[in-house]
Amino acid sequence: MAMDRRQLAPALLVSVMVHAGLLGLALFAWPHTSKPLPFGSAVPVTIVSDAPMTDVAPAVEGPELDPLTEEPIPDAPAEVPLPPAPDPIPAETKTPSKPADKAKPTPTPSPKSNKRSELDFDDLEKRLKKTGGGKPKPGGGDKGPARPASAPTPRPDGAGKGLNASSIAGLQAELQRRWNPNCLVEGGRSVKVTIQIVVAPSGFLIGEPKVVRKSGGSDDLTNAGATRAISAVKGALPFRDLPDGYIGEKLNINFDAQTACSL
Amino acid sequence: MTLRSLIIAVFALFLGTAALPGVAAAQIEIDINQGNIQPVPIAIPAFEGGRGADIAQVISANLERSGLFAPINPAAFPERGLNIAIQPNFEAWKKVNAQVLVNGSVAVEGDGRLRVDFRLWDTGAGEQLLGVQFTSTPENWRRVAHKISDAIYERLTGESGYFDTRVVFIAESGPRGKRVKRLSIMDQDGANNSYLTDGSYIVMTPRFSARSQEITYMALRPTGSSIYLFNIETGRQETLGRFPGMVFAPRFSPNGDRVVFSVEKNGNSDLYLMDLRTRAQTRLTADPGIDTSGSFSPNGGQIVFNSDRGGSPQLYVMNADGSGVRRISRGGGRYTTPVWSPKGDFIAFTKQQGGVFHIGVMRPDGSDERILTTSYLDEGPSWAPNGRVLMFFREGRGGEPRLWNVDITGRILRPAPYQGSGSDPAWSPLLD
Repeated sequence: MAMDRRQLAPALLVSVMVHAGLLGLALFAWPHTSKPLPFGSAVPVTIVSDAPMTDVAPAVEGPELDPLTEEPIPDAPAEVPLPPAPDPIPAETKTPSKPADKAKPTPTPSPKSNKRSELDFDDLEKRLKKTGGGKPKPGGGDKGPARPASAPTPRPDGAGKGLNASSIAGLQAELQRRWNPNCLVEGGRSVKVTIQIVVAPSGFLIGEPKVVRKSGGSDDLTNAGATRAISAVKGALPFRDLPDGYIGEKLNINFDAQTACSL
Repeated sequence: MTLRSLIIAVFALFLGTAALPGVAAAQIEIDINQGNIQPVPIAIPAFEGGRGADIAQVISANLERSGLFAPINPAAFPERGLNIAIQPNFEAWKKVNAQVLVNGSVAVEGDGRLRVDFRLWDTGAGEQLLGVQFTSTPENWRRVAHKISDAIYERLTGESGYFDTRVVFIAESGPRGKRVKRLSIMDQDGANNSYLTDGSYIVMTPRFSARSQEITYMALRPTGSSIYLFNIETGRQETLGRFPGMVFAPRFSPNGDRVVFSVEKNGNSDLYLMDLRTRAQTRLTADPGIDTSGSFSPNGGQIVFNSDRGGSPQLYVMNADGSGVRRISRGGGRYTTPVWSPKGDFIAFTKQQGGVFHIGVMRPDGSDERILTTSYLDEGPSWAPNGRVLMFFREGRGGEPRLWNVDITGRILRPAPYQGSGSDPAWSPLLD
């Protein structure tokens, strides 16, 4: 009896530890089940009509805009200092709805957008599970292993093979076409800015673009660079045909004026 | 395998998964290394209200002249009569390739003052970048337009604007040999041009104070030369005093309380410094060469000047008390008329080499020399207050001097808006 107990205790201990390990794997391998996102609560979604613009008549009155600020011209008494301009890089969670959508025709939803006209986390989780729950593999396989512990951040170069690479190359081309780097200004040529976005299945953004890195110049120069980069990102929306692994993930878009201006 | 080994292996597996970055932490990087480099296409429709069209036109001309913006032809505008309280139709403006849009309104308040509101929109992002209101006396409408231009320029380039400024210069007229030279002033866009002297005596090398609307210049009369201080706003003029010799090339210190100038006697020229509060004078150089064209650094601690003490005119920097003189120009050629940038990062100069003249810049230590212009005669650069644009005068063979602008990259070289003959420009600070 004593010998049975001695054999049983280690086995029990190992069993508990293996189960604990598996539980830990389960918790970390399926991130979307542990996302602290409140289902059913207000999720910021940018809704923009994708119907062709045919009516260029003056828009109907929209909502009240931000109040202007005032600065008297110098020969007035006590000059009021110029107040700070509205922050061109709003917080990630702040997404104003489009005020003029009353005037715009209701878009005819495409079959794709019928399925994904709003962010559906259950659907998202299912699709991610189908793909193995990990990062997109080069070549775009349907199934794959769970996300490895030390997977490097994929850096698609647009010259790779497969559907994923060509989708990213298309996105890069679109952003390059719309990005006007500040090359003509001394100091603007050395600015680098990284804009972080999260793309919804619809191709539009979840939340606002976020400046996560900026360097190469004064605050004014880097802010001007960030404004131009964000303009390019928003102008290129919606991002169609992104690989599934890019949907709902943080995408860091690195705008390098140093390289672009030297070409 | 022992029990201990098995436990360690399981723990390692557990900790390995625990070391994962966490929920949705995968950050995908996308690199954008090419762009569509061009002046920013900007649409500036007429503002609503009286003077609205004029204000829009001044803004458009300012930004176009900077070389950094390309105003859209108004004939292509998809919307007219924009109401500043209503968001524009961004999609329509994008179709005419307007990356940014400016709209505004002009109103006359009850007390007769002008109120001008404007908004700057990013059509690609579909959002407002700026929204400001100005009030002024009605006759100052051009200054409002210049201030709006500065605000737009700063927001989109990251550099300070320079449009709400003036330029003093020597307006020249008459045939060669009988040239009439008048001290003249204009807005930087060529408007509001007027004479400050009557042309009965020669005036040269005017320079603005960096802090006030005061200029200093040299006047040459049959009795000799004098340095004057002239307050443009009050019209008050005074001389710096009498000196044993010819005086010329006066320049203010950055805080306007001192003037450095040159005194020539018996073929030797040296730099002197005068404290305007006490009128105390200090001799800064005492070598047998020609030392002239002193220009203060923005912090007032150093002075750059040109001297032929080494055999040909070169650039030297010294401390503001005359100590620590060191040569900074290194290229071949003759270097004159140095001017320290308001930002402190460059010194502009005139260079003569191989029978042609250049306007160039270099770092205060003499490195990174850049030639910005080349012609038969380019001379006398003056910095805009943002330290990124220069005005100088250019003269063709047998022609008359004209005012020109060039930016610090050398890419944007254009005639200044003044239509007449002019030389020796001096750019004012921002008017407030």
